[in-house]
Amino acid sequence: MRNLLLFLNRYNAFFLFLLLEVFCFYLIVNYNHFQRTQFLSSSGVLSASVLNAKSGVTDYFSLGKQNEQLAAQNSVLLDKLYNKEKVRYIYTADTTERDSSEVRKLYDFIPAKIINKSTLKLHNYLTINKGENQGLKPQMGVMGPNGAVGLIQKTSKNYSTVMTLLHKESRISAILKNNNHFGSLTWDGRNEFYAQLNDIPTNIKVAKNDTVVTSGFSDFFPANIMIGLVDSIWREPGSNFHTINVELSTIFRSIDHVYIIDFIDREEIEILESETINE
Amino acid sequence: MNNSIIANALRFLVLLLVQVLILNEIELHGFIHPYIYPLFILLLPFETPRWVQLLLGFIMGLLIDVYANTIGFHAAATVWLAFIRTTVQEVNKPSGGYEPEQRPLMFDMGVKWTLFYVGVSVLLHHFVLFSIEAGSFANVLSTLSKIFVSSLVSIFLMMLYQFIFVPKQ
Repeated sequence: MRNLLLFLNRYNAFFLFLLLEVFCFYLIVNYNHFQRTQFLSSSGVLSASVLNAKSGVTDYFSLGKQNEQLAAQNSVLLDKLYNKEKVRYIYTADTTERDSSEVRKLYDFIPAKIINKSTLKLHNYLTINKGENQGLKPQMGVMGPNGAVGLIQKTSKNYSTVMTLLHKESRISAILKNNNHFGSLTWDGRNEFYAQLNDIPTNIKVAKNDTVVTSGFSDFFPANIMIGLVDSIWREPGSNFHTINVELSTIFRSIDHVYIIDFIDREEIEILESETINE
Repeated sequence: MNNSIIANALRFLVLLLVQVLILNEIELHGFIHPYIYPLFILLLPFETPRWVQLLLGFIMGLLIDVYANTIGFHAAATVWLAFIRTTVQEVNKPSGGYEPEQRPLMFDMGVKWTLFYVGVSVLLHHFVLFSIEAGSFANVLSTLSKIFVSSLVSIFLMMLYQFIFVPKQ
């Protein structure tokens, strides 16, 4: 201790010098914007790269949450998109007394996460984490970020199963976008990337890469939801219809978020139609 | 002794005012920034305690900073000047050493000694000052030429000051 004091005393000028300079640099960095940014940026190179690396790691931890947020946001956007557009339903099924310029909410989009799925069987299903408690019912349409996915098959309190397009019994009303001819989309069970569009008469010209979308003639889907692109066309001998191989836009193997389409007027239409048939 | 304190206090005021009121307004080509206030530190008596020199340097520098709105620049440079002043004096010591009654004035020490003393000190002071101002080593050449040219003008002014204000004794 005594030695330390002696040492300090001997070099007191030097220590005072250091003290004052440190104080000066404190002042410089605190009161001069340019010098502060210079100081911080040069000393910040290291910290910035460390922080970058850190966020590169920690970003992954929040991916689940961010996905949920994005899905929620997407459902809002889908809502706007399909309810604003003059959907086919307004002309085909809507009652005439309604002003056609009125934008009425026709569809609700409920985001859900896939918790289980199969793609390699003949009857492929998804299981999603929304159910009756969230307003889901059987026969509601399901779409993914890239297009149509399937229909709700069964619901429980908080979960539902979805019959995908990759299902032997699946049958969805689809149209060729450029000429509005409609047919039904089925799956032959062979390849998870292709489905088949039937019932297009042979006098209709179909070309490779024509777009196939939902027709809007069913209760399940709004019109114009992407299904896929025409991949190949052939004609079974003796048939008057094309058989069209459609490359699906949804890759079922990699999909993990979907939106359930709740068609608000469905019950009304069903009652109306059943009454008409029973007459 | 009292005389010396009064003389230095007066010099403090005069140099501060000259610097703040006149020289700070001069910016030749935005390149030459002459400074005369460091002369106050340089002309403090030899026997001034070092801690007093350092504190005076800090105060002087900070006052200049306040007027020039460059908090810390001049304080840092002037504390540095006060610190190296002794070393420069040691290096520049005449063969017989300093006489007890000598002051570091041109009047006492002669032109040659003063030119070396003032020249080296001012260069070192300006080097620190302009380096801090530049903030980085991005434009070293421009900074160095600024230091050099400004130092020449500052040294000239300081010598001129000593020619004009000759102590009456």
